[in-house]
Amino acid sequence: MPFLRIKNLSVSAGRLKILTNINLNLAPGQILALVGPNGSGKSTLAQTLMGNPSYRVTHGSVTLGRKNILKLKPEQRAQAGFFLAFQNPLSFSGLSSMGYLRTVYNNRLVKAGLQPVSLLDFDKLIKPLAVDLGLSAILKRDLNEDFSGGEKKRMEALQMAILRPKLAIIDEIDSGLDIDSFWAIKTLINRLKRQGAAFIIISHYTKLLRAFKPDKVLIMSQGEIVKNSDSSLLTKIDRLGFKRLLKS
Amino acid sequence: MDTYLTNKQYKYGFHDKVKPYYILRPGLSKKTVEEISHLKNELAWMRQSRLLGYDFFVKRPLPDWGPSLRGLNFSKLRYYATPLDKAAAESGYIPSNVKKTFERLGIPSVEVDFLTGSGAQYDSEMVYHALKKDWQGRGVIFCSMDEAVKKHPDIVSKYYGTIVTANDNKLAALNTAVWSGGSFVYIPRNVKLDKPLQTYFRLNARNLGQFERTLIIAEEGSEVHYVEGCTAPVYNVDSLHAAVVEIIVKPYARVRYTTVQNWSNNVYNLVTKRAFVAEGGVMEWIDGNFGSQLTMKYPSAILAGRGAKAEIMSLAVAGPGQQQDAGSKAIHLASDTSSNILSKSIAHHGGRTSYRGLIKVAPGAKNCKIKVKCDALLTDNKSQSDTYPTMDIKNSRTQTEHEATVTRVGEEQLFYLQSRGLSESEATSMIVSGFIEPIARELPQEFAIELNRLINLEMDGSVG
Repeated sequence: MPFLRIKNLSVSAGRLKILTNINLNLAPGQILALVGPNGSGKSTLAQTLMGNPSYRVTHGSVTLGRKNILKLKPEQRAQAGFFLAFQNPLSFSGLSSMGYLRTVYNNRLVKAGLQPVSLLDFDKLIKPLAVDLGLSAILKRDLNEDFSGGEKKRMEALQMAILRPKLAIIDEIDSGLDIDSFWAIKTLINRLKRQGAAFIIISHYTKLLRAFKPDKVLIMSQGEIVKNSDSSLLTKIDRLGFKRLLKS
Repeated sequence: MDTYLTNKQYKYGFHDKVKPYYILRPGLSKKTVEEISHLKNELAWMRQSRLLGYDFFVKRPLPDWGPSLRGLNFSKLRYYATPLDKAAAESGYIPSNVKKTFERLGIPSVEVDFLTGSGAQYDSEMVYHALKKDWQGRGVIFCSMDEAVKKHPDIVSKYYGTIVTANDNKLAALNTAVWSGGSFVYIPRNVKLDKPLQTYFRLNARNLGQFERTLIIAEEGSEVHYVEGCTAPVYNVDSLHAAVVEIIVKPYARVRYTTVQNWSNNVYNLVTKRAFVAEGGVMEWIDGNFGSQLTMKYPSAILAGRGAKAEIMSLAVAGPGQQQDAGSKAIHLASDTSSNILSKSIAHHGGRTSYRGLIKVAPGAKNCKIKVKCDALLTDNKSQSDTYPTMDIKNSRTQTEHEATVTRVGEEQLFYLQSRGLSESEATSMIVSGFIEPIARELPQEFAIELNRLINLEMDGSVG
């Protein structure tokens, strides 16, 4: 039984219909690559799954295990195990990254009925993860404020590392990322995957996606899933490009 | 930062059963003023000063340039109360329920080594305070204003009412007539106190206006940080807080005055705070305002000597049914003076904030530097913020910077934080605490913690 199931999902923003009849299944430990030209609806799907109030579900269902996700607020979805690494993470002036991370972490624990960790214990937990992602120097700075594109992406990965989601949606994590950071994030994703997390990875770059050895590859175009296959699809995209592939 | 997760109750809304020893009937007359002076056993000069204040109070109209004060009914207020008899106060005896009140507010134990000296005001009278011995040895005076009038009449009468005169405004006149309590601080020449002096004030008797009077004198080359915090029980009858704070900063002295106030939402909080700053002196006001029905407060600095400096930081938070009219004034009378004003306000759940500021530069004051920054944050569509800046600059060689921003908490920002597991109100609290961080970091640690706690309670909508 698949653990994430999206069934006949249609979504509107205002009066505009932007996603039509999306179907998708994912099992624990699986990686799904979501590709497609700009504006095809990949980010909209990601935001909708996380519960962005700008998008209205007009039809269909999303379940995680037995839970109907669509009835939940974004924070309840997070508590249920959803995580979205934003394509464009927002910045917060006056909010120290370190304080923010600890609040988010302890908030998760407390809402699960557990004890929050002390400053010292959190420090021990976060330091090695931050070192792996090359972030130790910027934890004192305000969250995402004047961060480079790559630093923002790595900060998203760090949050994913401490929140340990069951389903992580990674929206264009590669843009602005140098090769070392990319490998650090890939290592993190593989670790979480071994622990049973499922991933939806959104990208334009087939080469990058191939590095994740996705179990499934989906192509979106104009708000619909137009191809649904395995990683062999990536090779085809490389050979033909989206336009010719979608015509064939 | 994990204060986001802590208690959700308004812990300051209790009302204990202390019976004030003296409590005057409501209403104000010449006789009431004389009675107060008599109860305090004051000398003629102070009685005269009170009566002068009373005359001005009667003659002057209510300020009409700002929010409406028509809801204030002076004849329904009480003007004096004392919680315990004098002998008990003098022998240092504190009733146990008074102590309990302070304990519930977390006062005696809050970071004790950090606070060191503390005096707390209960109703209109100081009930206890402790002053470190070494300060006394260095000639520092820190006591209640009532005590100062008796024990240090020479210093008090020399400076009292010189910065905020009896006729300054209607509320200052009222304070002059009926004042009670408040602190007196005297720092001798070149004495530098490295730890803050701290007091807590609290309105307790029902319907009692609190009219404390504070006077701080920092002699040449001295330094002091005075910290004051206020919380109040919830009342259903309108209450008035009309305080006066006068500060004299002598040449090259430095005074920082930090206040965080949290009045229950029926209080009119109308305070006149002013500092006179001589050559090379520095005055820093840090002023945080929560609660009240209406607050009108504009900490001011008169920069009278060459090179004098003022830093004025204020924070105002207005929730449902509340209006915070806050800001600051800097009067540049001498050359090379500078003022740096940072005002931050938060309006939530339909609250209203306004910044009202005045900057004046005298014709002969050359090379003055002025920086004003006011930022307003609105957490929803029902809340409102306005800005009323006035600049009266009579010298062309003045360097001025002025910046004003109004920001609404963005849906995308909220969604980002919610996606990490925070509820909408937790996310709002977090954005707000980021917004106030430049002011919060200037506060003593326990105040910063209390501030965050209050913000969380307010954003949660559980206060009010």
